[in-house]
Amino acid sequence: MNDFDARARTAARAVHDLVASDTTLAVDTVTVPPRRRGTMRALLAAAAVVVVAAIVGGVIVTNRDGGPTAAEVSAFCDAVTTAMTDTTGLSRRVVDLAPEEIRADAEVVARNHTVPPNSDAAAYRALETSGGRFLAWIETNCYPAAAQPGAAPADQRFAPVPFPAGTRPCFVTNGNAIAGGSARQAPSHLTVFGDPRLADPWSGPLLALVVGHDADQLLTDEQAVGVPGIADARTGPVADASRQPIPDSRGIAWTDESTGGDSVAVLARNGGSADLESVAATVVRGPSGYRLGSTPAGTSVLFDGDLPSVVTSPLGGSLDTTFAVTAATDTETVTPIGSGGIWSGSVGGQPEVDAARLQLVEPTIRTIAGRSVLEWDTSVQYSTATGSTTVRWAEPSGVVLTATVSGADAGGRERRITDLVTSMKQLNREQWTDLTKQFSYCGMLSTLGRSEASGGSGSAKVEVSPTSTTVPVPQTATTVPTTGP
Amino acid sequence: MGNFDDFARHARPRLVALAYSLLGDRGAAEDSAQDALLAVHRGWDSITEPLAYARRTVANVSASNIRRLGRERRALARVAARPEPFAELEAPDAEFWRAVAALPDRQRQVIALHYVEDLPVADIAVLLDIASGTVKSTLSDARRNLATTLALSLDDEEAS
Repeated sequence: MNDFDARARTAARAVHDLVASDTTLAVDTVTVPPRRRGTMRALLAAAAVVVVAAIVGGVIVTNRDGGPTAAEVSAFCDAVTTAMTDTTGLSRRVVDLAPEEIRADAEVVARNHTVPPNSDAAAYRALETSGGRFLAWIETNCYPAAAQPGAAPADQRFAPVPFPAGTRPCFVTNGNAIAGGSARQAPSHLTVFGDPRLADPWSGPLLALVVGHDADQLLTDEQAVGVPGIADARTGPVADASRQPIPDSRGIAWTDESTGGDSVAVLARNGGSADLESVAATVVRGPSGYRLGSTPAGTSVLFDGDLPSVVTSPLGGSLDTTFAVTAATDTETVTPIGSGGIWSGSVGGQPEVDAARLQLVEPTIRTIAGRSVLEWDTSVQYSTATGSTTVRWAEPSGVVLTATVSGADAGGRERRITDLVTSMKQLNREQWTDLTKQFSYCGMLSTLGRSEASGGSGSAKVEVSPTSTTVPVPQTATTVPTTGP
Repeated sequence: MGNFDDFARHARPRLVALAYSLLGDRGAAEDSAQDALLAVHRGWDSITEPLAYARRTVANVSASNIRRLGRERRALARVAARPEPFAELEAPDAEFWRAVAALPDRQRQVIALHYVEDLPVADIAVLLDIASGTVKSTLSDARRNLATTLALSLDDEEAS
């Protein structure tokens, strides 16, 4: 055995030993369905990234009576921005520059930021508490409304007025979710073809060309497939927003190595293409990007623009999010969505709302308070076995709002959604600033840092479905549905 | 066909290990193994080789998720104290798997299946639905890349 193989075998044994001796997990019960977990994680991560991104965005300095001077705030916010964009976490400089009112919290964050979530519960709880106050201060003081690149104007933010009774805001973030340079992805593009003769072309056969999303974001149960002229093509059912396969759908995705690795895919649903391999083989890259060899017969372009929402997160993606609010009920100690709901805004309009239908299974469209609202079940289940419902609509101003609500039976959720949409108002800058000052923590990082399903300490639990059985395994329990999909 | 519970109990640690070697994140590895087990559960009556099916699911999903996890990890590590990838391992082993993580997807898959799952070339070929020759060349490329990165000697003889 050579040096390499010896090292590789040792490293492999270390992995097995780690898993075999996995007695440190704080997770007592893992109750997660396939793909739904991914959606849940995406939802949580999106909200958290909003906060993180708020830190790496631009800086506008405020001065407050009785608080630190503008120069002190500026120096601190600059240091935070620098610290958050390198890999070392909080630097001593950040702590030293922290205004007196949050210095103790900064100390805790700096001291505990390298603590693995599952290794020291007390240290991690301290990090949660101080981290929440620390982030809230930064959000309010370093990044006031419309402070970030790509953020919507200050008057393009929405929240229910009055705020739903019995709920409180957990995260109120001011701008583009991933405004920082290093986190930004290359733009994606979507072109959808459909039959314009139908009363609702989006309900009929659809064929789409997607550029910029990896296959795993678009397809499920991928398998290799032979396509003339395309190496490494994969095929599978199109994945919906919850990573479940969409019936009567199929996609082919590949990487165009000739252009440095562009991700390209053609998707069909509702009988949109009988021979998708042939369609894929016609895709060419021209000066203005990728296109099909010809417009499919009997179709016209229903949507052609940057990809607004064909991602797994019920938030509709984070790249184009211009603000986000997470609310929880007063009785929930750890929940990012729960009964309170979570909603975000993005730049777009009705076409972006329609385009979301490409990856939804049987969405409904209903009119609420004069708005045409697209509604679908997300399968995100949080503190309840009844799932969640997401709605999306375009405000007359052009802002696209997406809201997710769970924590009630289907009828109750529908009422809550109706109430939420009806009471959603465009806030002026003063109203929005007031809302950001109500920023609380709601245990988000606890949920992220450990696991969605966590035993002890009052953490939330993700349920699978009303029909499930528990399969015990060493140290953990795996819950699986008793019936197939 | 045996009992799914027995299968899950037996296969889960191996699947978590395989996923961990590809992802470097224990929570994500457990997610991945969970996804694979549930996929097997759905098709329990029709899947003839459940372990191979689960391995393939883990290998494919874990490989494609690593870039996204990379972005999430970078972001969350700054606030949520998420550890660096493979942080639970001793330094030399973590260094090895971090070098693996830097390889192209297919090379990562082949290395993980060959060394963690101890699968021969022929089995990897079936599992990934590619030719044995492709597995051999991919494994060779991966080993050469890793040997260079880690400054290790490497015989010309290929693993089989």
